[in-house]
Amino acid sequence: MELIIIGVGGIAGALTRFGIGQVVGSYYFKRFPLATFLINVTGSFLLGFSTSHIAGLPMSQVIIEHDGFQIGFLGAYTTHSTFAYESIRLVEDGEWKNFFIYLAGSAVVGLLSCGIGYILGAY
Amino acid sequence: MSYFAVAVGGFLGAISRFGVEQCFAGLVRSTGFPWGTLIINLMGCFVLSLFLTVALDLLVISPFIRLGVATGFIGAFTTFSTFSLETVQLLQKHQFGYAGLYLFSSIFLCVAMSAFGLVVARGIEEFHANKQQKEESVSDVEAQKVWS
Repeated sequence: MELIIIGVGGIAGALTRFGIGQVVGSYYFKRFPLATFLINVTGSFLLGFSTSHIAGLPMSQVIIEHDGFQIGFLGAYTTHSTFAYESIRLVEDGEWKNFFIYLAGSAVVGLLSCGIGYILGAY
Repeated sequence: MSYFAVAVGGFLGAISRFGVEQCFAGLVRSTGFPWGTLIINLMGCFVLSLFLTVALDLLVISPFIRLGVATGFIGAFTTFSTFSLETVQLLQKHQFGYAGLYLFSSIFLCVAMSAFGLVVARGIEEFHANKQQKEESVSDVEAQKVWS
């Protein structure tokens, strides 16, 4: 049962990522991988928020949010492999400035948004 | 059809990630370092760039399968949100060394793995091209023998 919940969350997450990539990516990819950047930042924020939101509640009450939303949806929504692949493509295209902005930006803004979500979720 | 491919890949990717996390759960508990997510991301980064390069240049592969494997499966298998959360939690526990190590390896090692996947893919392509050239020259020789 747990696997089904995670898998269904995974379907929703992967489809949402694909959809956002279709809408945003087609306009902005050449200069900067904006779609993946936005996806990873918003996903990090939501995971931080959700984690402190369900902290302290008994596991039986939050099984859908933990397995389905956090592990399934957000885990599949955000992605590391595309992030790394786009990074080396930027290097191949000689876009060194965007490469460093993408790397540092994803790490710093991703962690910050996760931390902010974590703090906000406690209220 | 492409949505279906992404959905199937996403389902399998999320479950596989959960399975691998479970395998490393004991190690994560005993060391306090998020090995599971790191290993998942390192593997996924290598495989994605290898697959995408080979699939785009060499293999004649249906775009739906490419989407299902790359965007669906590997995209859902690897994760950024868990990496962010685990780093924040390490910082919260004042384990700054681990947090720095995790951040560094997740960002730079993953990009390095991705570059490594690209290099391996180019190697495969070169090997394939050489083999094809040899086969062609062998068949040329044979053709000449037949004609002479």
